[in-house]
Amino acid sequence: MGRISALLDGGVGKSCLTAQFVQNVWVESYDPTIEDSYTKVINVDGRTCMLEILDTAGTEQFTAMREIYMRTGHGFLLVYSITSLSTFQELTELRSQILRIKETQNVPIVIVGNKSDLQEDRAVTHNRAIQLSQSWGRVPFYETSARNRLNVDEVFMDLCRQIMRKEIVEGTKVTKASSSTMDGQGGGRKKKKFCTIL
Amino acid sequence: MERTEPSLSLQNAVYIAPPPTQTRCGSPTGRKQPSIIHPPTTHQEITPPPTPHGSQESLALFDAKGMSFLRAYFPFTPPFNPSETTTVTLPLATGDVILVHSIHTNGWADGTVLSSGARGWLPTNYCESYEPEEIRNLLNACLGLFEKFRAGGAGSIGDASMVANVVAGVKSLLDSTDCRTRESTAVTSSNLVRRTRKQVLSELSALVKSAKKIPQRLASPETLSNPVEQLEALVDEVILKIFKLLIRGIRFLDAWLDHQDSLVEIKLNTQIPPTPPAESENRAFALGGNSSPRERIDRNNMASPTFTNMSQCSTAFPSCFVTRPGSDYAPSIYCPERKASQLLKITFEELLPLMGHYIERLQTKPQHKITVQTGGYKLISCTSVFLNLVECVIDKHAVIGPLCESFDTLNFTIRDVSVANDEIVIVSTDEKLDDETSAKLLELAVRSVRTACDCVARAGNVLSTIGDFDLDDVEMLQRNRWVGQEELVRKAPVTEPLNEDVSKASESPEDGSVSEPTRPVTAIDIESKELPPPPPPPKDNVTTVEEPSEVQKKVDDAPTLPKDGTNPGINEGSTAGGSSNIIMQEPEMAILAQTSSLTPSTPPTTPSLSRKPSYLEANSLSRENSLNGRPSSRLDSMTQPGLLLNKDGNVSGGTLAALVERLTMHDSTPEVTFVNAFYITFRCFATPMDFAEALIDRYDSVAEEADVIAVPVRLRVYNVFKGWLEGHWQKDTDELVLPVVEKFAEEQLSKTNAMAGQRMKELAQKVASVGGPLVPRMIGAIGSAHLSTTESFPSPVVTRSQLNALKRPQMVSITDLDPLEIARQLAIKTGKIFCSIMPEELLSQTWIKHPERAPNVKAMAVLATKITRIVAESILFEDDQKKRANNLKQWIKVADKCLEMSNYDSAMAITTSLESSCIARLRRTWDEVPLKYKNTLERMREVMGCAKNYTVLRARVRDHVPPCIPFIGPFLTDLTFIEEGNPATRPISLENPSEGHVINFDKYLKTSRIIMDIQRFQVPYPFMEIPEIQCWFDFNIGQLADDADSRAENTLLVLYRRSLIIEPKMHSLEHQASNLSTTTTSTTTTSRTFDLFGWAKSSS
Repeated sequence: MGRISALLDGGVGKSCLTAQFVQNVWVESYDPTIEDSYTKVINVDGRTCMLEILDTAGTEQFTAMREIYMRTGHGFLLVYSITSLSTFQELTELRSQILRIKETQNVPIVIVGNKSDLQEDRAVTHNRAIQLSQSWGRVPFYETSARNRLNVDEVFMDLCRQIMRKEIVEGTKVTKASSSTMDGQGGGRKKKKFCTIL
Repeated sequence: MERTEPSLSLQNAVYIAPPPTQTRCGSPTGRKQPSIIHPPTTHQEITPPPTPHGSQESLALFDAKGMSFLRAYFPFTPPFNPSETTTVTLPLATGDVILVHSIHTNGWADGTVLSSGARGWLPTNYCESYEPEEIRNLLNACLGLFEKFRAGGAGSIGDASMVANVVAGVKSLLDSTDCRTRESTAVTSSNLVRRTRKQVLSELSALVKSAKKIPQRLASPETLSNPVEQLEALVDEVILKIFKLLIRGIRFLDAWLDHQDSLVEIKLNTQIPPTPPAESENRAFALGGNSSPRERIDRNNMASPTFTNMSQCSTAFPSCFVTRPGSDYAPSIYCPERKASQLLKITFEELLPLMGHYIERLQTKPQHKITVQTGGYKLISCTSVFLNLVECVIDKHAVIGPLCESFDTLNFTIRDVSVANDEIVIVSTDEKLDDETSAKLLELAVRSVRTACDCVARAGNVLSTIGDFDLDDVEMLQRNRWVGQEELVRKAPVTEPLNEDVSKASESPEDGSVSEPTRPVTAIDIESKELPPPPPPPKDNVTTVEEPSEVQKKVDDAPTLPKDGTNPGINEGSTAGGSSNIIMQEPEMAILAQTSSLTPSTPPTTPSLSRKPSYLEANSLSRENSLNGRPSSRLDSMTQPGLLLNKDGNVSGGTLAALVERLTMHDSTPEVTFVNAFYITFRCFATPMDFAEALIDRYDSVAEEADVIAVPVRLRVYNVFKGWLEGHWQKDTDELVLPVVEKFAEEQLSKTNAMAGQRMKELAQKVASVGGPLVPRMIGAIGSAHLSTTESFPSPVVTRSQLNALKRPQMVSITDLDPLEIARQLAIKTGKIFCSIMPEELLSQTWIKHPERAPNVKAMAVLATKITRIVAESILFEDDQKKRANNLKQWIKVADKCLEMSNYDSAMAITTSLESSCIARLRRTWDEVPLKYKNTLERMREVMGCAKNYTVLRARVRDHVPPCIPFIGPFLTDLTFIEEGNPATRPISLENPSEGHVINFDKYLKTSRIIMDIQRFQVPYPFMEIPEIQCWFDFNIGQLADDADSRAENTLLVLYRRSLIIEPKMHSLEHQASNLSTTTTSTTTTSRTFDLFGWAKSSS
């Protein structure tokens, strides 16, 4: 199972993204207080994967908590709003914090420009985001619209794929470096993937 | 009619006929005056009239009347709407003792319930005069002291003779019960007597101690500056102790009487009911047999609830039972315990001994039929109350599960008990029960115990999933006719002739005449109707023995209580003269609103045993119905166009007009949750002006209707306005509406209901001057009452030398203080902010989008962040590794204490800091921390982990009883998701969206649920604030402030750099390690040479 963490300052609509992804079909009433509301089983490249999404929307002011969320997440969605340049600019800082806390350069990340339905208010160009993606070592970049459910699943799938790939790579690395025991390496893994949306 | 009463001797007043009231409130002339409403400018005017002066002679007066204390013999639940905050009708639990201030001619008394300290109106016909000979001196002495303090205020308190009287009273209690010495027989032979006796003595010494403080305080110089305020607290404390002493005394007497009875029972087993002990030729038994069984039964019955009350009162005793000028007290705010879990617990605790007693009796053969039958009735009635509660829980849960099964089993079992019990035919009193019936009953009783236990356990489980909730009185009352009470009532005549055999006294003519005038109904009919008629007395006016049937009837009668509520004349009725009119009209309104709707909305269901469907059946039925009615997900447009209900019957959507209509239905009281949700959230979907206009439209819309519709609707419109003005007014948004409200009150409302119009106008004016809600939020109000009694506070763990050291806060380190006390002070500090969070801060993501309008949510976040930093800095800026480890250990202890006292917020702040990368990586420091503390931290991490949407934490918080400061994060996340995951409007019909959209009330219902969940915890901790430690915190927070404006990330960098200085990375070693380790855990540090390394270098 994977854990995706979602963190970003308010107004980006990232919680909308999470809600859209988790509830799949549009339901009459969305109740976030139930446990299931942040987990979803998805199928990535023929493998079933349980995603647990840690989206702490609303608690951005609790800056001290952020580090915990970052540490818990296995992969991160860094979400900005295409209508707000400042949210875009914050991503760099978030990423460096993640890298520091994870103490590795290899962290599954996806850059997400949300609110792509609001083209007329666009403040961050496509190119700018692509540049950022390049400078971070070709981190995947999507523009999404939670409202229209555009690219929502794709974003999560991509991140999930990255998390899985990383596990496999590290798993094999370990077996090479030392024959320390690893339960269920490769395809047989059942570990949760935790995603943090940022 | 009551006028005849005083001529009768006190002894005969089995049912207390209200004596002529010579107090100001009750004078008939006063009440016939035209209704002039005095604006309630001072508190005195909204409280019940004060008691007569506290001199000795008035004492004598009380004495003669025998009415200074009452004891409740039936539980009484005032049928008021909890949202109606001005009601002052008090609930009674059986066994409660009430200090009476005055009695109204219609049978309602103004009194203070000793166990809760709440003052208000209560029906005297549910009580009996309480003044057993043994305790009379103590009662009088306490009354004298109480009166003295009340009447004389601070000034006349100096004399110690009053306290001496109390001491003498206790002495006389012990003398008359022959328990003066510890060696006396009663004390040595009964544990309960011994224990309660000890409690009386310790309470007495506490009282004497407190009373002594008063003259001292009077003399002290600081009092001179503000004598009133200084003394108030002390006087409160003494009065509180007086009450507690009385409760203890009564408990002791109960225990003693029980003990005596048990002795007699052994001796005179053949005589039923047992006669009083030979030596006590006193009042309690002088009633000639009629009261003794009653008292006995009640004592058995009530032991546990009384105790429960008492334990509650020791912590939550509102100090404000006495109204003094300038005190903050408004009696209406007092809110009795209505939590489902609490009620369940209390009822169960009541039921269990009853069942035990019953079973015990059946096991000791042979038994008298009458005893068994009486016990059976008692058991049945108590179980039915219990079942009512369980059913409320089931309804709330709305899921068919194991609880329904237990419920059904218990219901059927008790039905069988009821049938078997009825089959016992009693011919003569000496008749013994045959073995067959006895065995059958025994089996049934054992089964009921088992199922009742199941029920309680399962209900507890359900409550832990759905969360505890407040039980609505209406809900309870509507259900109050469970388990074949009909049958029981019908059976009553069967046993009645027998009673005459048993108690000869009942044949005496006096009894009839005594009870006759107690029927307050007649008083109501004759007099004007400013008070709700007290619930009719149990029909069995002979009042002799037939305990169970009385209980049944009472329960039976309760729901229909003020039948004439719909009578519009009530409102025009003149008010009682003088000061009491304001409060009186309020409960009346509330009750009117309740009952007028109650009667039609609950069709005259006669839930006799046979007809009650099993829960499973009922549920499947309703499910079917909802499925059938489902296709268009639309409500029957005939009843209410524009309103959508979901499958649970909750309002899920509607136009503003339809929602307002729902608030003001003519035939049913609006649901409390709906009303609260509406008040909290309406500004999200309508402007205050829209709301006011919709209400006025609603008022106008019924103009053509018959009175039976128009009157309740208009009254409810008024009630909604009133609730808004009193409890939910926000000046900045709602101010514009004031002229409209005033105009409506003046031009429309006063035409149909002069009094309501007048009242509303006053409220509007008041609101304009005050600028906020008039009635403080219920929760906060209780909290502050809580705070003012320092009596129950645990004593602080701080030494004089610590306090001295704290004068120079920079010199005090975290390890110099006791972790418990640090945690307490943190709870106070955080709790203050948490309790001031207003609902509007949490709506529409205000705290994110307009942080300036959500100062308290912001302050919570800031405080948590600061605490996190204080923790980090106290560790990182300590050069000595050993001390560093000590500090770390100390913070773990503090966090653990925080968790123990359910201050999740601070516990979270501290553990977050300990787990942050800059602390967690200090491996050598952690090595010095004993494993024990690491384990503690690990345990806390499990509780507070964010895994699965904080599952563990949520589950824990759900069950919590305040005080508790939950970590507010998950609440904020939920609110955000509800806000963003649910659209503001919803289509009327899913199939055909073109029909338009209505307000998505479901969204607001969810929002309000979370907000109310937060509000539930807004109760301050009962801890003593220690200014020195608070200053120390502030000092430390102030130390951080220098870089407060810099970004959080920068601060983190500073801390991280510091962390690298004190424990530099072991570069090469760890590099190797990183190749080996598979995943990076929080404690292992791997060394990738990204910028962090740079800082280490630059700073070294």
